[in-house]
Amino acid sequence: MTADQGLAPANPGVIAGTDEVSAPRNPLRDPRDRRIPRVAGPCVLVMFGVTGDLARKKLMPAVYDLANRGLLPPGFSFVGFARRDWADEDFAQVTYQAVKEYARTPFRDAVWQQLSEGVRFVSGSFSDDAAFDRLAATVRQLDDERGTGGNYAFYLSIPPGQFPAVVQQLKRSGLSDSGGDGWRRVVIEKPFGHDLASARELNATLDGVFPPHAVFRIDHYLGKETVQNILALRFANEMYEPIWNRGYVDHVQITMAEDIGIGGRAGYYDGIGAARDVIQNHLLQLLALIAMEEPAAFDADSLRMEKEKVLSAVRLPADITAGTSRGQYSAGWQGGRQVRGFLEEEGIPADSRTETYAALRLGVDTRRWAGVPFYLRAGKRLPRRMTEIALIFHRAPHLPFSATDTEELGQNAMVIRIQPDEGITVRFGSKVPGTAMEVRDVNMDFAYGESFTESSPEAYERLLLDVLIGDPPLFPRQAEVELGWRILDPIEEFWASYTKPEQYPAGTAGPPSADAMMARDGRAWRRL
Amino acid sequence: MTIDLTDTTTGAIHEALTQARRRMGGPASGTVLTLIIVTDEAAQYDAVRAASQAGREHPSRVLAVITRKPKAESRLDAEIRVGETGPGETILLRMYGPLGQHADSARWPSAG
Repeated sequence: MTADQGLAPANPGVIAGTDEVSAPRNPLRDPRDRRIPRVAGPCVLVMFGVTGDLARKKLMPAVYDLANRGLLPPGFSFVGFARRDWADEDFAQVTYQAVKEYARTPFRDAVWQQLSEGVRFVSGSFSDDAAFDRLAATVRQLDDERGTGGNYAFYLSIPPGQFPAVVQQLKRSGLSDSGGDGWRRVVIEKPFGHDLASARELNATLDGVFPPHAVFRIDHYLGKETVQNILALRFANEMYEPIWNRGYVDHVQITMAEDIGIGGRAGYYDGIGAARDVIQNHLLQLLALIAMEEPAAFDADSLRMEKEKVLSAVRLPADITAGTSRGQYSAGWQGGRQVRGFLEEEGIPADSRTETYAALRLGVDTRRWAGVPFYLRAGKRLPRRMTEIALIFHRAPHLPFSATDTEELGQNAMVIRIQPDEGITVRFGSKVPGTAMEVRDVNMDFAYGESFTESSPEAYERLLLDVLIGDPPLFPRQAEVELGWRILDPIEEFWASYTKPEQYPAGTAGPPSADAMMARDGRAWRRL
Repeated sequence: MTIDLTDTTTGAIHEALTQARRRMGGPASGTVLTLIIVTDEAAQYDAVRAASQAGREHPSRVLAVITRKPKAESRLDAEIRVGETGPGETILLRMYGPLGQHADSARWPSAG
């Protein structure tokens, strides 16, 4: 590490990999300088599973968008690996189409020309030794031709079942070994296992080949600007932290509602369900960010430490039947269209017990949050697509108004909208104009789109750039993944042995048992 | 500004509303009340005009649910008026076919 570290101790956003051999620092560049964007160093991105939906709709466009914003070095190279009989040009064509269709920044031919010169394709299956040898030769050739300096990032956009094969091949072909110069990083996507045991197994597969700091687990929620803003909101402001505790907060609701069904993901979704699919990762990460204590610094280690601390303090409901709810959407009308029920979806067995809606009531056993329930819910085919975190505050301990004056007054609330329509809403009581004293709820709104003209980068853009730069704070560590499963496993086990998901008509806000769960606590879900 | 959406979904309507609000500098996100009118095409014009007038005194979002041609194929058309026409947002939802019987499925989110 260089001497300027001493000058800027807790410098947000700029974290030299503390446990990693970083690329040589540019002596002309001060890490405190915000004027120059962070640009990735020379490197190769090797992508497995390039024929998948995620690669086409998100990753390839994200690569182009990064290039278009000037955040990738000129020599950046992009290698695809798949079981297709493609030449480099064919793969470039596929990438070109994906970029044209899904990229968020305008298409510029010059950028594409530059990028496409570094596009390569290696054809082969994951059991094919020769193919991986060809891959190794290809990236080495790129090092020579385009000066990528032996820095490779491997993006495994493939089902976890295939990880061991690929990782072993990377090891066998010598690709995983940097030999001191350059770095190796591996990027994996959720699901990180389907329970604690399988998560550990998955980690063991990677662990033997890549050191822990070289493994980047992508939880794309953490790449979202609004999620990162939770930290800014809480720890850069004076107004909120004093009331961010049990003394003021009555309860917290974290919601991730989708209006779509399972679509073509039947094969993946059946047997997984809403809780494993999104609660274990996204919602628990949101909970951690909301409930955690202030980290000592905005660097990867401090952040993860605080998140781990709060996740290990999460307490399950004493009675799982009363403290959870799960459902399956049945046929109905959603958003003006008639839609099928979950059990009638293609590829789902008629007796499937996989849930498409899950709600949990969790506690956080810390001084800050004792007695404050955190309600988490996630579901498909709900009235609309929406992810939000709502902190609902206590009612004022004493109201000097008569009961009729405040009939329309609810509890104060602060709502962080993650998507869509990113922003923050504060709900509070206000006097209705007129001669009578009448107080009712009004909203005060902050919308990202209005306050900043700069559009926030797509989550995958941000995360890919962080991988290529080697900046780890936004990636959960294995310990967090395991803590997530520790929370969810007992619930899943209980569900599997004792309960059956309740049906809820598509387009409604979930099964009646979820409402009953809230009603027992004298509370209600926020309207979707 | 009037936005017409034909054969649409509530998701798309919501998106369009958000965009419109953003372009206008967010006039209606703090609106307290939503007035829902269930009507037919013949009475729609007068009803919406009356609601808009009332809206000048009691700011509200006006949501008109108009059922049309119950025998037709299900379809949802939306007309979103923001700005000049009234105090808040006015949304006309035209529902064709069996959808008219399930109007609540389309009303839900936009009333949020």
